[in-house]
This record gives sequence, C-alpha cells and structure tokens, in this order.
Amino acid sequence: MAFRKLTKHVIFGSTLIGHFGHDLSDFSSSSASWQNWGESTKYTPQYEDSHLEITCTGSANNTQSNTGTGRKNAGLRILVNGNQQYIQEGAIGISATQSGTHFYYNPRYNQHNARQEFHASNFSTAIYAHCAFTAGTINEQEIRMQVYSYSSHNINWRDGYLTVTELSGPGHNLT
Amino acid sequence: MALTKVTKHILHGSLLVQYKYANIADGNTSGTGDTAIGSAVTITPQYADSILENTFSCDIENDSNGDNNHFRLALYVNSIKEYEQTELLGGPRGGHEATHHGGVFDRIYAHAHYQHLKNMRQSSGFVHAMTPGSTNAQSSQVYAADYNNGGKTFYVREGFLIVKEISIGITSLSGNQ
Repeated sequence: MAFRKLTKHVIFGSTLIGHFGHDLSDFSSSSASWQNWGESTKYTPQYEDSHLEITCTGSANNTQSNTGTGRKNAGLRILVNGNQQYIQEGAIGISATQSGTHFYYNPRYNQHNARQEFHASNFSTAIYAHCAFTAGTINEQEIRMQVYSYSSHNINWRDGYLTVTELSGPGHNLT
Repeated sequence: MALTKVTKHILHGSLLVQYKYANIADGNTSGTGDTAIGSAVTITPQYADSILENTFSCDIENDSNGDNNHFRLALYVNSIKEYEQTELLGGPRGGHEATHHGGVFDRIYAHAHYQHLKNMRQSSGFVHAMTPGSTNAQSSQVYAADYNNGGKTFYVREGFLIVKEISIGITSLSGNQ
C-alpha cells in the first residue's frame, strides 16, 4: 500500500469546556433594593482565558392591584462574584395614563363628586437575559440573579433557569 | 510493552468554531421602517457549511399613549432580514368609554374617558440560527420598528448579542432549516 503524505491544516476551533444549569426557586418581592432570586451557582473555570456565557430564563408577574401612574418597573441583573455583569432595568413595567383625575360636582343640587380610576394589574412577561465575559482566572465564580421592584410593586419571579457555559478562549474574536 | 488494539469509533459531534459578543448600544425608533439598534457584530465563517447562531437579549419599552402600540425586533444578516418578532408589547386601550351626564337640568355634561396603558416594559430577546453558505463576512445587526402605527416611541435597551459559528458536524441536518 502506498503511503499518503500528511499535510498540515490550520484548524479553527473552540471547545465547550463545561456546562451547568439549575433551577431558581420562585421568589416574590416588592423591595426597591436588590434581592437574591433563587440560589447562586458556583462554577470554577478550567482555564484563565475561558469565556463564561450566562443565560437566565423565567417569568415575572406584577401582582399589584393598582399600578397607578408614572413609571413602575422592576429589574433584574446577573451578578458574578458580587459584581454586576448584566442588567435589565425594565424587565417588567406598566402604568396607566391617569387615575381619578376628573371630578364631577354640582354644589347647588348637592350632587356628589365622582371620579374614575383606572387600574392596571397582573401583567406578566417572559424573562430572557444573557451575557458573556472572561473571568481571567481559574478561581471559583459565584453567579447569582438579583431583582428589584421600583416603587414597591410586588413581583413574582418564577420558573427561573440559569445556565453557565465555559467556552475556550482561543475561539473568541477570531475572524 | 504490549500493544493495544486500536478500535474504530464513529464520533458524532459538532465544533464551536468561533464566537463573538458585544454590548449593543441603547436605541429607539418611532417609525414603521426598520431602524438599526447599536452596532453590528461581524464574523467571518471559516467553513461554508457552518451554522451561524445569533442570540440576543435586551429590555424593551413603549412610553406612548394610544392604541395599537405593537413593535418589532428583527435580526438582519448582511442586510437581509433573517428573523423577526412582531406584535411585541401590544397596547390595548384600557378603561371604559362610558360617559357621565344627567343630574338636575342635565348640568353634568357628557364626558367620555379613554384611558391608556403606557410605560410598558419587558424583558425580550431571541435565538436564531442559519447557514450562510459562504466564507464571506457576516454582519449581524439588530433592528427595531413600530409595527403598524407610527409615532409611538419604542426603546431597546441593555442589548447583548452573541454570535457563534458552529460546525455542521458529521451527521446531516434534517427538517426545515
């Protein structure tokens, strides 16, 4: 059998080094300060130049009976080792244009005030948030979701699922 | 040293050839034509049969009053619309349309109330994959637009776009691509 010459080829490639996912416990909060949504994930990169891709899906439901006027929103963020990597300040938000601003009154005939109030409530949305970054270390990375609610509207954060994917560094930003 | 017999295995697998990602600058539009949000992410596939995967997350807002506040998010690759989400947010007119009138000598005049929802915000994003069929540079750009009723301002914020070139693997694809 004749020998075949082996030729050298440059192969571009990256590797999915590690992958981890877990459920986030349902969480309900009306706090205007950041609160933890579910449990944190601890992941230790295998290589310093790896990139970590974080993805979170879930749902949010505004249970407030009257959202009132003005901007009412709730946000979420991805924390890595206590530092904010990604934020969605408007993960869910809703408000009415006006609430009871018109009055009807006729004092001569003792007719009473009446006004209309318009409430918007029980709005929900799906959650999709992701980011990627390089940790630059092989130290353990703690990844955590946090949420807040502006103007103290109660939000149910449900069905959260968080994935962490370690991508090898050489495949990043090639061509 | 004893020799070890080499056995043949069939390997199924796909390779993440390369990837890029970027923060996408905030943008807004109030027109019905597609408007670019932030900058494009350009990647040049190493193989003509590779898969190009785009994933995008953001939050969106409409702060306008009125009916029919529907909006679109779209992904263009090399100026061709590859994917679109329509009917985002929505905006039904709320409240009621009852009028108040009557009283003695009908002194309470008729007045209709039309109330609206505004400042609607939500988390959003999409996932899409395609085969460019070329090793030419592929430029992925997010666009936004009012769906069917111009003049309503649609904001796209906190955008994050990840683009991956994935090798097609040994096994062939099946089903609609």
